[in-house]
Amino acid sequence: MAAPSISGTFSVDKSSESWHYDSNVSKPDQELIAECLAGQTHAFGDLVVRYQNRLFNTLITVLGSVDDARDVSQEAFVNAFQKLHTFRGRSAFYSWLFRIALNSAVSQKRKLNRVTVSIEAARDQSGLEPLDRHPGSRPEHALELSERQGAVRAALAELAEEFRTALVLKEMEDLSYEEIAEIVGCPIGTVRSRIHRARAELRERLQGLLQESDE
Amino acid sequence: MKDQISEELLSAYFDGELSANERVQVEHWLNSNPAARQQVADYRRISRMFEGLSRLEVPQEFPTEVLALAERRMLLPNSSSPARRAPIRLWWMAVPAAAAAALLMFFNFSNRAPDPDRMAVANLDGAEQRNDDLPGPGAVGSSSPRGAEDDQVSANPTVRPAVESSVGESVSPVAPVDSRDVAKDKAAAEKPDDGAALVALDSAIDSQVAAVVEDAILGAQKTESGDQAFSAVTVYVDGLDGLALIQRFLEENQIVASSGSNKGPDGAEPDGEASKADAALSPGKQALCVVVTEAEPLVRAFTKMIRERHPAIRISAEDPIVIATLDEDSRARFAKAEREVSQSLERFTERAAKDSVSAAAPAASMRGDGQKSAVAKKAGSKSASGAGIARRGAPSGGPRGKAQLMDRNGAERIAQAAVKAPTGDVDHPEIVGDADEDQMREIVSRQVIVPVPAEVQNRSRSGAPNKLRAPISENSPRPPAQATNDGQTVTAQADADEKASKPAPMLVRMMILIERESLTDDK
Repeated sequence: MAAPSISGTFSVDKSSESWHYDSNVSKPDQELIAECLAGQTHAFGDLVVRYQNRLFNTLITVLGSVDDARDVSQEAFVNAFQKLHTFRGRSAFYSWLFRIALNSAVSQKRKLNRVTVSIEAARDQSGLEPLDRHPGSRPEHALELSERQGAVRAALAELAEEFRTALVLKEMEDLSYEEIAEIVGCPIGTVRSRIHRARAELRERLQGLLQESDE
Repeated sequence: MKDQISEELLSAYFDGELSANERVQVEHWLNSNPAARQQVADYRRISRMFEGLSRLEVPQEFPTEVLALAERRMLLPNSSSPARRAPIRLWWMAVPAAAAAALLMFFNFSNRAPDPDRMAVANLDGAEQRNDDLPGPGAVGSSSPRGAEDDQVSANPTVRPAVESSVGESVSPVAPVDSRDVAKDKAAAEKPDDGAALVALDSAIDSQVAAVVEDAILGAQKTESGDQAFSAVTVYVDGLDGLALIQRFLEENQIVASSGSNKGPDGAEPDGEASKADAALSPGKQALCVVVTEAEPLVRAFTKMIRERHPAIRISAEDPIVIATLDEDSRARFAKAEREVSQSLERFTERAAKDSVSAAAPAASMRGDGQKSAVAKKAGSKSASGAGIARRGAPSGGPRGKAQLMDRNGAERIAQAAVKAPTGDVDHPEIVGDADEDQMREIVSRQVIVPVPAEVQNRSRSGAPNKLRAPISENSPRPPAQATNDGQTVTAQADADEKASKPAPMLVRMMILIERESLTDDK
């Protein structure tokens, strides 16, 4: 069965005068970028689909706000679309995109160190659906999980923005120190220091949870 | 200080960011330092806490919003508000109503409503495919103490298909209805949206409808920006009844549509009326192609169609709006046809300007004074059936009568009249003295004439014959438009097509056909 797709190419079969549709979903980033730069702007839609949830969720953790994360995600994609011709391919597209997202957050004067509220509460308000649904899980387990997540997000919100960003990029994106340094625009040594500082603070703030999980 | 440096090294060790020498040193240190081992264990627990954080999914309309805002920025660089907060109407009005725009919407027809289970599978398949395509997280070095289980940590959330438009989910498949009764009832309840808002997106339309309409607009905008694009929406209809309803929705908005291929699964042409009916009712896809020069009427019709939520029509979430580019050959065909529209508009505009100065009598006759235009009379006199130009939409004496092509012969004559008299020597029914640009566009959009199945014609209107449609007499599928670039060529064709049996050299006659299984696989 053909998978739904946002874009592709229609071509005509001269023998039968019928039309065929080919999806773009399997194309690498660079190919989609080249298509977009060649005027096929719909190819950018595939890049959006490819990275939208990844960027969105990382920004939620960095910004501590679902609404801000959505706005910044949207702004980042739009800015990336407009600046795509400046992308040289020296870094991964996502790294470039995330750097734009951080700049967008700053330019929109987002408070990066905003104290977060429960992400579950935000989800209820926004109507957004979680990606990791476990319908079979027990209600009490869900409550416990929610409390733990709330504690983790609260502890993250207490961190300085630069520490939090570095650690989130490491833990959620699994980027290398070099990639993180490129995104946040600082030396690798600084990234290493920030991640360590973030961990040290989190370790202190989450001591109770860490001990629970140790038992 | 030494402890702090060690902790930083420990953190980097946990991330696999140390050199080989440093790693050996740290591991040696860990062997003799339980507190350090505890520290690394805590790092691992913290890392798992990140894994346990809920991940949300962006709304389905997010990609569409991004593209819409991005393209709006291209058109209006100063626009800065997020698309989701921008009024739809403002967005729409920002789109210049380019004359040459061609918005194509394809409707795939099935004689049954989609199976929800199958749709779910389709979505699941889509998600799996997306995940495969997503770039994985940065490689974790083999030396990373995070371990193999940590390598499974993925920053890639499950991605659902991007743009899906699901409308009328609560509507369950029902038995076929009598389209004549439905059409009669609906027609009595509805009146044309004369002067209605461009896209009256209000609280009466839910967000899903808005998403569909937005996508349609996006398709129009993309076309206007030069990228040949169109929107495809899967509409499941209950056989001919649903098809007739869709036809009616389109008709009420003065949109002329074509039916698609009636080919059988083996590519054979249907044989006779019964075969045509079978083809229309078959589970396979039938394509309905709508070609318009502006999106507004189409969007309005689509909105109305969704609003009514007739059980015989169901918009499927199985297929998203498709925005696609055309290959070189297809692009050339579209470009050619678009030039036709553009040139037609120019000719009409020039003639309208002349007529507005001379205030010709035929023009006055088309302004709603109840008289027949010269060409309408001419058409009537030439055609034994009286086919040709007739008025539709505005009642006699209305403020602004509009010519309407009534059948293939009428369209043919209009085309011939337009090309035979490039200097304005021959009356043209479309030229009205007070015609403005919008009116010209509407006229051109109506000149996209294509046939529909006879079964639909007979059933699309209660009691009354379907005057808008020409009988289906051509082979189906029809070849794409034989678009022409200049009036001389069209004139030559028109002269050669005096035979009634030959296709008329219309200004624009694009016929886009989709193979039955080209958009979905209905196994």
